Amino acid sequence: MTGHQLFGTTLRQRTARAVDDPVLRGRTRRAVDRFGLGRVLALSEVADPDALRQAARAVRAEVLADLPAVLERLADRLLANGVSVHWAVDAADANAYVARVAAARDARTVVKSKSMATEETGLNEALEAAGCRVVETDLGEWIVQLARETPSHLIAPALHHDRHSVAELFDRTTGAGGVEPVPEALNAWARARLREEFLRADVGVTGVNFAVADTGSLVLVTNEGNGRMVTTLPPVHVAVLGMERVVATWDQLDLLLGLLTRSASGQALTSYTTVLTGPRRAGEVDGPEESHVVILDNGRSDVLGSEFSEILACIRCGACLNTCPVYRQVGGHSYGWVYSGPMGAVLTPLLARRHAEAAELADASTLCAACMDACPVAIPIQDLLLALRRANAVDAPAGRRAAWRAWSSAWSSPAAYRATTRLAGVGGWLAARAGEQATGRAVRLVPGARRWAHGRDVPLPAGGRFRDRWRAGDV
Amino acid sequence: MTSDPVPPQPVATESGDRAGFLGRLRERLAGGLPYSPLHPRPAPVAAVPSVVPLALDADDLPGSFERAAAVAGAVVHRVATADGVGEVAAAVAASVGARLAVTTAEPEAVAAGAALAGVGVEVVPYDRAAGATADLGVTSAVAAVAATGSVVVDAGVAGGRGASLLPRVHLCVVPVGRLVATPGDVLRPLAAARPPSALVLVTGPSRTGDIEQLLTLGVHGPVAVHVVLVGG
Repeated sequence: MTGHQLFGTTLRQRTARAVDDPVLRGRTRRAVDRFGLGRVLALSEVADPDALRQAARAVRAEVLADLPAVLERLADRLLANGVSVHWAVDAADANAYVARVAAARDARTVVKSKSMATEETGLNEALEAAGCRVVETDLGEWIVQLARETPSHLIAPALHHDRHSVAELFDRTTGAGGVEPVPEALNAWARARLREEFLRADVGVTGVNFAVADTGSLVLVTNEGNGRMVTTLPPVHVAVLGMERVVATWDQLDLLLGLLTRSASGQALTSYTTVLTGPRRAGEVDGPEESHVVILDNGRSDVLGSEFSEILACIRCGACLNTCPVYRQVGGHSYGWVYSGPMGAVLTPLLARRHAEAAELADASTLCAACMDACPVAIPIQDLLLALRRANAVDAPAGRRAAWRAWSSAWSSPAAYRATTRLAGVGGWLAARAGEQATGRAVRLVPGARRWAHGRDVPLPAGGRFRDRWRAGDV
Repeated sequence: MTSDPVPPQPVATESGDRAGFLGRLRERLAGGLPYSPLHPRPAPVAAVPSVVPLALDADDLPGSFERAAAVAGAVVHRVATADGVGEVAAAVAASVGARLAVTTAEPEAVAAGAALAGVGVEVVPYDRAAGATADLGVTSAVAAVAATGSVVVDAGVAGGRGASLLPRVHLCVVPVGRLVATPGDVLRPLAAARPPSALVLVTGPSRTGDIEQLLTLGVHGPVAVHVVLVGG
């Protein structure tokens, strides 16, 4: 959990930093617009995308309802394929296993292909503490690693950088010696530098986009080729799998894969769709000799069976981030942890439950529900955010609960309701006489209203109460 | 750094507490998964649908393949018979200034390699060391996907994984009879038999937009993919 800013800061502090950075906001907007448009175009090119989404929701529901049996089958097939399996209860357990595997091989260098699950567990720090060099190989993740930062978007981790900051970073940390700050030159430098790492690495660590239980296969979806490098060149491969990232059958995989890539980046398929079934076999000149899969719980079992179960259907495409009006303005770092955007606002409070700071992430939403429409597996994200807010309300400070209770009582009786609207009518008449500015200043004097009113205009009520006009036959 | 003969398959071990892990999940699922009235439990799907591109012309798979490959950034060459492959291979090699090429064990790749040797390219069977310095990697494919412009490389058939990955340019020779319509036509049948150790659907060159969301090719994998479609 090191490096992430959730703990010790508030949502307001983090978003204020982001809002004050117009360059970051511009880049975030451009990236999410591009990905978002890509998704819309890609889905317009297939037959009946909404039926596909509903089918995908049903598929994920079926798998989650049957998760123990699916995982059991997956583990049995993995073992039959010669892949070692470790059941990891939590982050420390998972990290310790990977460190043991590395130690058993006397590993010095570990190369990694993108894995949110290992970010979640803090694997890099654990391996470094055990004496390994860990090198991220996804270009964006490598940049973020060199800069000692955290990723700012699910699929575009280095969104917050530009060519100059990357060139400066490469010069400062990798001995690039004045590499030209243009994308082609920077990529060429990264290619050459990371290739050395691939060729010398002792262990390769990846995440898994989907595990297919029927054949014990791992599916990795990448564009750069680093996922292939990491699972081709080092003698050992370790895959860390969030326990919910599984399907039972290849039919299910086919559907979800087609929706994942279109929803994430508008591609029918990424450059490389890699299906791994066991380590290398006789007659093959490369591929790992030894393969491991770590099946990770780390709080997911608490979510399973709860009213928040449906968030476990998430396939990590990022479509909700790209469509969210809040994410667009504040970017990924505002969410303070590994998972950002709408799915992060739901998942972080659930997985990082011990940290009280996580609860307020449910407020990082306008409840516009655009995320629900974009989600390829039709997760009712808005419902989950509301459920989190209800759970938070139970724990709200006494003053706030008293205020809500007072309002609720006031409007529970027709007589009290009429009385308050009459008062409001008087207030409206006064406001109209005083004008917008004076009214705004007055509102801000109300205890607790100042922060709410900041950034909002106070609308002046139209003259008269609806009830009076109705009675008079004006309406 | 050379290809070692595969050591005896290490014994796969299981660790952690499977019974405890799954027991906890069964406990959590004892009451079933809750759903709200607004978004009720979805009905199970009898037959999982496929994602079918509207542009796919099922009667003209080669044409669909060419169009989709262009979108993915792969270059497609059509030749009528296997005799035409050598000329195309030589032209590709010349255009990228290839001096060293590696080939997989597949007959189509070996044949293309022989043609390349005939025009002065150094051609060796793929292994890590050669692959890392080669300009050109020559493979065949067990299938090609018309909907996406992908070629499917099988590590078992090819004898390894890296010939289509390490060199700067990937040349893939595929008989048109191995064309299928959609990725599902490659993936769904994997249920029937044990899949190979590594199967990759290669859809155009390696790419990234990680710097300023500007597309550049050839980050870790090849910068160019040339597909020679033979026949039809």
